[in-house]
Formats: sequence, C-alpha cells, structure tokens
Amino acid sequence: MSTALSLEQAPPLSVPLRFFLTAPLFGAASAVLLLWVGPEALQSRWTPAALALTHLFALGALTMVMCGALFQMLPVLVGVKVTRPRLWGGICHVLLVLGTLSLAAGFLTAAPASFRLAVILLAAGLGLFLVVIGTGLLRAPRLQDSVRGMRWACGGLAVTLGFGITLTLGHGWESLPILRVPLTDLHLSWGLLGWVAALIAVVSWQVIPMFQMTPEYPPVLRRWLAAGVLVLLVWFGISAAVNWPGSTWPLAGLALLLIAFAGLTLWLLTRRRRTVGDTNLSYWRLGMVALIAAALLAIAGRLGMMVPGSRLALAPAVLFLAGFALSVVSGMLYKIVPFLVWLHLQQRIGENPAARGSIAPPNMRAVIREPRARAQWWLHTAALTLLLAGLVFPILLRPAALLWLASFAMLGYNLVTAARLYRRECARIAACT
Amino acid sequence: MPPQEVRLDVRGLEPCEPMDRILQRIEELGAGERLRALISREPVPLYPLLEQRQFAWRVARLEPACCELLIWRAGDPVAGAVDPAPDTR
Repeated sequence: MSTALSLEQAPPLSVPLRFFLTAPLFGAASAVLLLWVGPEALQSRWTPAALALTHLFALGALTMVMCGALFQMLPVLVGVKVTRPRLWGGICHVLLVLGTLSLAAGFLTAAPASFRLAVILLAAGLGLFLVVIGTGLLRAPRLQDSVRGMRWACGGLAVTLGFGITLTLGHGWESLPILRVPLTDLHLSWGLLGWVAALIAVVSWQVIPMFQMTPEYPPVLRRWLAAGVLVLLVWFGISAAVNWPGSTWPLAGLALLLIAFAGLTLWLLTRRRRTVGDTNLSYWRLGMVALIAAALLAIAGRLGMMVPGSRLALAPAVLFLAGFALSVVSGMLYKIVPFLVWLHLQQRIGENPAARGSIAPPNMRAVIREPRARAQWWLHTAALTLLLAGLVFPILLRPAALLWLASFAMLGYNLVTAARLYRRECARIAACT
Repeated sequence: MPPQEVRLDVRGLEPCEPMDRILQRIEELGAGERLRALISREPVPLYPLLEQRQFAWRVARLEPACCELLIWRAGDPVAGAVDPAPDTR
C-alpha cells in the first residue's frame, strides 16, 4: 500500500481559502490607487505610488495566493505534511495582510514608523511561512522534482525577503547606509524570477498535465529549471557586486530559460487530450505569451533599445506581473479552488456513513460556472491591453485601472460563490441521516 | 478462492471524474471483491479518502501515462491477496 497523508494532517479548506479570498481585495486596492493617482503613478518605477502599487500587487495579490496554495497543495498533491496548518496559516495570513498594508502606507506617506512596522510584520509572516513550508519540504517522504523545485523557489523567496528587509530598514532608519538602486534591482530580480517564476513553473509541472491532460514536461526541465534560475540569479548578483550594473549574460540566460519554459508550455497545450477549451487554458496561453514578450523586452531594455527611466521601460514588469503572473495565478485559481471544494466535500461525505453512496459532490465545473470565469478573463485581458497601451498613451491608464478593479471584483465574486457552495453542500451532507 | 475483480478504466477523463467514479464504484464492493482501475496519473489525493473509508490499495505504474490501482475493503484477506506470479513456462 502506498503511503498516504491522513485526513487529520490535511489542512481544512479555510486555510487556503482565506489567502485566496484576500488576494482580489489587494488587487482591487492596487487598481484604486492607480485610479486615484492617475498617470503620474507610473511616471517611473521610483514614484511612491508605483512602489506602493507594485507591493500591493506582488505581495498582497500574488504572494498571498502562492502562500495559500502551498499550504494546501503540498499535502494534497505532493504528500508533504505541513505542521499545524490552521494555526501557522492563520498567523502567516494576518501578518502578510498587515505587513503589506503597512508597507504600502509607508511608500505613500514616507512615514518611517510605517516602514518599521512593515519590516517586523513581513519578516515575521514570510519568515514563519518559510520555516513551516521549508520544514515540510525538507521532511518530504519522496524527493520528487516538485519538492526539489519548491525548495529552490522558497530559497528565492528567502533571498527576496532578505533584500526587501534591508531596503525597508533603509526607509525606516534613514541613517543606515543602503545602496538603494543595486539592492532594489537584486530584490526585484530575485522576487520576480527566483520566487514568482520559479514557483509558477514548478506548480505548472503538476497542474498542466493534471488539469489540461497534456503530456508531462520533460524530466530535464523539471529537474533543472528552478535550480538554473537561481544559479543564474547568483551569477547576476555576483557580477553586479563586482561591477555594477552587472553582466548581461546571466540575464540573457534567464530570459532564454523562461522563453523555453513558456514555449514548451504552449506546445504542450497544443497536445492536450481535452477537446474543449476553458478559461484556465486561455489564462495559461495569455500568461505564456506575456512571459515571452516580457523576456524579449527586458533584453531589449538591457541592450539600450528602450529609454531607461521612461514609462515604456515599465513594459517588461507590467507584462511579467499582470500579463504572466496574474494570468497564470487567476487561471490556476479556477482549477484549484473547485478541485479543493470537491476534495473537501468528499472528506465530509466520508465522515458521514449515511451520506456515502447517496450524495455526490458537485462536479468541478459546477463550483465556478465557466461563463462567469470567462467574463472575468475578458475583463482581465481588456485591462491588461489598456494598461500596456497606457504606457504609450497615459490617458488610458485610468480606464485601465477601472477595468482592473472590475476584473478583481469579479474574481473575488467568483471565489466567494465557490466558498458559499461549499458551505451549502456541507450542510446538505450533515443533514443526511 | 481467488478474489473477484471489477475492472474500471478512467483514463482520459477530466479531473475529478476518475476519482469520483472510483469512489462510487468501491462502495459496491463486497467480501472477496476488489476494484482494478486504470488511471492516467497516480491519484495521490485519493489515498486519504480511501483510508478514511477503510479501504486498502496497491498502486503500480504500468506506463508513463497509466497507473493501475487495486482497491479492496481493508481486512479482507481474499480481496487483498497478492496476485500469483505469471506462469512463464
């Protein structure tokens, strides 16, 4: 008999769901900020509003979902035990929420007290997350490619957090000598590539073949992609420390690696056994095209083909964060949440002998209806298009922000409907005697 | 007496259909009966559900995209008997 995780060890649905339901609120907050400040917010990447917006988005929306997913996906898909998920997950969630809000407030008000509070809350929250998830990964029963890749991604988050804490300390205590520009570039590259891209790639090896019924990713990619990203980031860091702004070679290597991953994913999606397309598929395709575009533009920028410091120089970051990361994360939510709802309802049925054989949980497609998910995808795609156009024609940035707000509101609504269906079905199962 | 086998092929079905069908089918297993299911991927999330419902299982990967899952009621010595080695004479 193969080893299994007992249901007592698996976290309750409330653990990931609290992260998932919070993420659209932070996404909406970033949209409101852009709406309020307007085109000046994206004048350059150094404006207070741009920094606040980026962190609301990257920490409050993206990292929020990724942390919640790891708390649940680790035990469910990889068979890794997470210690006291309800307790530690709840504490991580609160610290991440308050820390992100403090950090955004710090950027907007320049109040050192906000930065000092943010550094304590985020270091504690993400530090605790790394200890809990890292311990689980180190004790994994089998050293699969996913476990290996998740370890690398968590290493990427740890380095990102280290640079982030150093930078925030510089805001909180201005007497501290901080090399702000090089450290920011390192923080950004480790955060986007070592954490976000590496984790998304690792998770895609599990979820793309499983939910889109494609062939598996090649073993060599599964084994080495995340490690390769981190090695190239270390190379870039060392070259930047020796001779700022560092070598272009590791950055070109990173771009090629990500283009290869995106190209391979698009190719695998053409070979899927499912004949019917869905919103998840559209999100993956959009995300991979955006990743390729972001990598090509980043290299063009590095080779001096874009005016540094201009609004257009933000295009690779916008394409990466909103086009690639948010697309893929949204698409995954439309599969992971219905899957978890189904799984947890099956657990409830298993607990009630009277329900076994007489009640079946709703099909995954009934948890979040496809037309609603598709409508949200259209809002997301329209917002992304307008945001990119707004980098050239700033007058479009406020309409783009409005569409972002609508897109996050609809994403939140879709997730809430899934949570409500879960509660309703739980009551139906409990009533079965 | 050899175990009675029920066969189920759920390869190519969308998640969570394969696990759904397996969970439905095993409820009908009687003494001395077991389910032999073919599934595209190893169904790791299914195992805790089987344990909770007091079923035992064995899994073997036959091909890269095919796993064979053998499920029976825990404590049923007939259904849980290991298959005899194939006669190669």
